[in-house]
Amino acid sequence: MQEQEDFKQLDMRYEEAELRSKRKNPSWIDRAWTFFSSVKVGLWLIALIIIASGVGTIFPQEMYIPQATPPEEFYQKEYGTAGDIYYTLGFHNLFESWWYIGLITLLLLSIIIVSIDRFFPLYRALKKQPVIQSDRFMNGQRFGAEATGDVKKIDAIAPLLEKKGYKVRRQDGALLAEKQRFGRWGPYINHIGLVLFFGGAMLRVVPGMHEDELLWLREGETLPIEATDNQYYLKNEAFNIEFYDPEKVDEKFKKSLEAAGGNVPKNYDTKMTLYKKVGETSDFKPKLEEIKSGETAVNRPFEFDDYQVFQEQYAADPEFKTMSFNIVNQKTDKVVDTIKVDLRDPKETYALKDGYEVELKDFLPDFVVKDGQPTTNSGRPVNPAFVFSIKSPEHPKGERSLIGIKLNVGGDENQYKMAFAGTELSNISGVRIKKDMTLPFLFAGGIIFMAGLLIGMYWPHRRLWLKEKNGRIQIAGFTNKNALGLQKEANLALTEVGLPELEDRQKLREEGEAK
Amino acid sequence: MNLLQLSSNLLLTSFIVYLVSTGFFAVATSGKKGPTRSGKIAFTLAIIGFLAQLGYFFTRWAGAGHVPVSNLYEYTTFFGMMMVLGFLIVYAIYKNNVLGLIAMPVALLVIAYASMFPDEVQPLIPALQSVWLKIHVTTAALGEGILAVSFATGLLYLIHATDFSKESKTRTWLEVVMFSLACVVGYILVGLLFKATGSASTIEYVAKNGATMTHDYAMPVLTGPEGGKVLSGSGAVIELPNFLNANKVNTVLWSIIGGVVLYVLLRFVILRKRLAESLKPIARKIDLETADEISYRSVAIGLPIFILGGLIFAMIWAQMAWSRYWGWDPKEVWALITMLFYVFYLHMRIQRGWIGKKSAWLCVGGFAVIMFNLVFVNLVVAGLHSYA
Repeated sequence: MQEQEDFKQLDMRYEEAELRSKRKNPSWIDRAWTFFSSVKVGLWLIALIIIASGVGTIFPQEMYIPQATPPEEFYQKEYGTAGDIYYTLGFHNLFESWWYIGLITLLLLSIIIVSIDRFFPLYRALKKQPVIQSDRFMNGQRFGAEATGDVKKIDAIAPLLEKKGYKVRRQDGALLAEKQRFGRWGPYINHIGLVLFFGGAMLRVVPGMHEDELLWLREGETLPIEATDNQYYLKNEAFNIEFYDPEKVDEKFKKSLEAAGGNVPKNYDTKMTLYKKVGETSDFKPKLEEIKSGETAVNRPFEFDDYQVFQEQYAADPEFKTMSFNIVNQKTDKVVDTIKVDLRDPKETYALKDGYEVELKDFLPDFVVKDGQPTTNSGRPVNPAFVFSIKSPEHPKGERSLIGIKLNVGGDENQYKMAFAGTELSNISGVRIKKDMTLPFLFAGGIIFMAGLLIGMYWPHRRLWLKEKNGRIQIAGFTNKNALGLQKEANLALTEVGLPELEDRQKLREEGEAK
Repeated sequence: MNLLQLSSNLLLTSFIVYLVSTGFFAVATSGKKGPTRSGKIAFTLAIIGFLAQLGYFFTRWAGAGHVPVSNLYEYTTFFGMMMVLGFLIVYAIYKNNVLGLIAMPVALLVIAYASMFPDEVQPLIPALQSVWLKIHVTTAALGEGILAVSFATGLLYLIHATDFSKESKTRTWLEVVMFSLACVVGYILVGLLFKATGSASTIEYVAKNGATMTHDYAMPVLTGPEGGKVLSGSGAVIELPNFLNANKVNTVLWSIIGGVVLYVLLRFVILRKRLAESLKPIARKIDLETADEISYRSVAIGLPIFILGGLIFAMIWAQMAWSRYWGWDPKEVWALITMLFYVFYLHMRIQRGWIGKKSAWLCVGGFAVIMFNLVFVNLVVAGLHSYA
């Protein structure tokens, strides 16, 4: 009993090998090494990352706020003083801040150094482990037992342990049985996986590894893909969006759709054609060759070469594509003729029947009045306005009017007026073109990480030492995980050859202390 | 009877069977002997309840036409079912009745909490139309369910190891945990009460962006929006500035009121002692070493499953649906925090020898992180995953 209370367990995590981080008289490199190889430092870093990440979710990050309001106003307006402080401290962009990325980099450095510091000494120690261990070693193991007996008992137990999958080595009668040593490599394997994963993610900065572009394509429009150096062109053949119709949908969905109120999209996709630039025409326009056509939808990207085209967004308010007008004689209320203006490519004059003609003097795609002057806000035809001049036999010089949505300046006094006769809308599809050559590294990193995790957790390294001296047999056992498993396995073999079961010396000591 | 009707009947059945099973676990732990016949009955009932709930899951799947984990009601119910599964696995190994007396009520609480959300089936939006819905969500929930077992055993460990006659931090914080659980029960009871009395109100207000919005209150209005106009029901006692969601604050307030009433009633009228202390006679029946080991084992099983489902599968799906595997969406961040938290636990335990009380506290904390991700991130923090 006395002996058990004195029991001091050896630290077997690294087989008592010399670690660089435990050197005496360290140089400054050793000091830095020691700092990063400390598990304590790594755990502090994890704790800091947990806290910082939590703070980063209090209010939405800058990338998720509506783009209409500038962030410096948004946080103040939306969340009051707390939002203001959040913005001022830079938490609105936390995950891209230098210090957050710095914390992750330090953690990675810590993982790499801690692994190197431990792995090589541990590997060497396990490779050249002796069969006969010192008494200090045998008595320092958590599991052990002693009994009288001779070498014959050790000889008898060897085949039993081999049957259980142990590798048995003998020397001068002593025995070392070992199983699943690779379980010790689990943590290092999963650390390698992590480093590969994050290293892969960092490869993005290498030119050519990662391309990312959001392309807004109107129906019928063909645009070059910058992410491919303008070598490829994409045409939006048709954008299709479908909503769940509360009237037509299956009875079971009716209630939830009514509760949702607005429009619940069912599907949206873009039919498109991919072209490759094969040269230039004589008037310096690209010569395009059709490569393939297909469609992209959410969860079903369109693929070519190393690229994927994702259906990401669509414009909530479609643009006007064409607008039609009737030319009306206000005296007789008769329609003279109809014109259709293609808003992407408006003509300057429209010749009509019987010598009538409409001249488009000015076109303002996104009409506003600034400082009393009509002007346009952008080039997108979202609120088009037109200055027309109608030439008729009665008015050969033309009658001018400014026409827009709910807008008619000068039109009423004229004899001829332009009356809206319908519009055609054009959907705009937002597709994301992406090339990411780093994904295989991330995937491999993920698999290696999981493999390491499972190996470390479920393949315990087990060892059993037996040694005979002067008619007494000393037994010691080691496992890095699942103590009960080792005891069960070893005890079966030990009792079969008439040796005592393994004692858990740590437990005995604790119980001794408790008394 | 159609499939969806059958499905909700099966869920109700499983809920009742779980309740009865918990009762038998209580009987099993009250006796002085070890595993008794009531323990066996309790376990069998838990399995029957689980099968009934599996029936709910698959009939709802067939009825709705997609895997029923697509909104908060369905997900939370499924999470409760995975907690039961996690418990069944651990019980099969350790045959511990005491664990049933904690794990089953927690799972029941989660399933009851789920029933507070709208239970209609919804058609899937395009982002959810993927095979990864079934793979990612179910695996993540299974991992979380198994991790929840470590919460139950951690709690038992702490109650067993704490001396309630002396003032201590553990004693105080255990009461905080108990009070939080009381608030969840309070939320459910208050919700059911006001559903029965029909205390709904609607208040119209003008939001910051100038749009006219309405709050539909299910509970009597304590806090209303600034300058709100009562369309139906009662008016607000206090008006709140509009950057706070007055309706959510109102719900939280009522849950706390319910929790306080329940807690005071239990502590000062019925039990007349700390809630954690009143569980001590039960907790004493599980030995500390077993509780500690079950905690560790459930993390060892639950964490790899959670990482696979909640992070790896999640990233694969995010890459396909949103063209990026990681986007710092709050749900993603909290999944990462969950993983880091349990990684912290494992290193503390294996490398720095945190066994026993400290380790048990980490298991309780881990469950708090999981619940935070389920409740707050969905309901309070806006993001891609807040589909309720």
